[in-house]
Amino acid sequence: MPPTKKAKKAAAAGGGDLTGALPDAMLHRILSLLPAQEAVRTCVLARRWRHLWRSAPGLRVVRAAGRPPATVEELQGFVDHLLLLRGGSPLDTCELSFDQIRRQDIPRVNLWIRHIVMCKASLSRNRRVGKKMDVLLEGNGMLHQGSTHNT
Amino acid sequence: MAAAAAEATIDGGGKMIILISADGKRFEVTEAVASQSQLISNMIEDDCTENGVRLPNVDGDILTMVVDYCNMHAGDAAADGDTTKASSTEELKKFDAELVQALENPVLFKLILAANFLNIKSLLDMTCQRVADMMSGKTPEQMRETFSIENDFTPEEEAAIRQENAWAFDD
Repeated sequence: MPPTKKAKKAAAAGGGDLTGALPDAMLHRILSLLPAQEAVRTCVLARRWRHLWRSAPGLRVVRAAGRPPATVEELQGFVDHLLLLRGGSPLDTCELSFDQIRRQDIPRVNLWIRHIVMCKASLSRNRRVGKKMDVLLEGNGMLHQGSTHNT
Repeated sequence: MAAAAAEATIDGGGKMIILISADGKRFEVTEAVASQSQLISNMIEDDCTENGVRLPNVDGDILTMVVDYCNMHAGDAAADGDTTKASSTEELKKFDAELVQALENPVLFKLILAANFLNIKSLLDMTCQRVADMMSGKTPEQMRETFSIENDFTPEEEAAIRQENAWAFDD
């Protein structure tokens, strides 16, 4: 039998959906902590979750738990989809971690970072100008950590 | 333990503040302990904690945990100079890890709501991280099971959404 309104009410009262009580902002916070692949996959959990990942204020493009090493080449399709579909949603933090960045990957990675920085810009316009965002980029064993400021 | 920790910070914290939970339980804590909550810190600044601080959406059992946490972490916020007050970083890490590990899911989610309402960033970070850790490495089906999320998609709808987001599903 499909769940009735009564069942949903009972769920809200306790014993049911634990995430139901959390405001979207809290779920966004949690999604921001997950590797991006896992965050996107929450879209099939339930209606409420379908588009939540798009507006999470943090992105972690990293090797997901138990996954093989991730190179720019392998993740290119994923990151292109990810950034296009989340569009200009404001970003506070972004972590990009690759096991390999080849010379020919650099323009693509630069394009991603430019897009990410623009997402920070829209945040500043809406809220607080001059807010700092950390972009963490890791690849080839080198670590580049930078912050951007709006001027 | 909570009382002992409160006593230890008494001279650093100054005035005592009474917190009153939704079910009427009262907790006496120092300003230093209470002001880890940004909400209460603002109230202290505005001088409106005189008659106790009523927290109508935090139950006593949850507030007990929050107060324990704040007592434990009061050393963080206190002046760096006095090392006798501050719990050692390792001790704190252990306390935090044991606290979140031991939580049943419903309590964990109530603690997130309380940390959000009271605006205690470190507690909010820690509890959200715990939920993220529990989600990580799980399939959507396992996530639903873990958090009792009701799937309100029809099988056709779910298949269509998976299809639409195949770029995130096929490895």
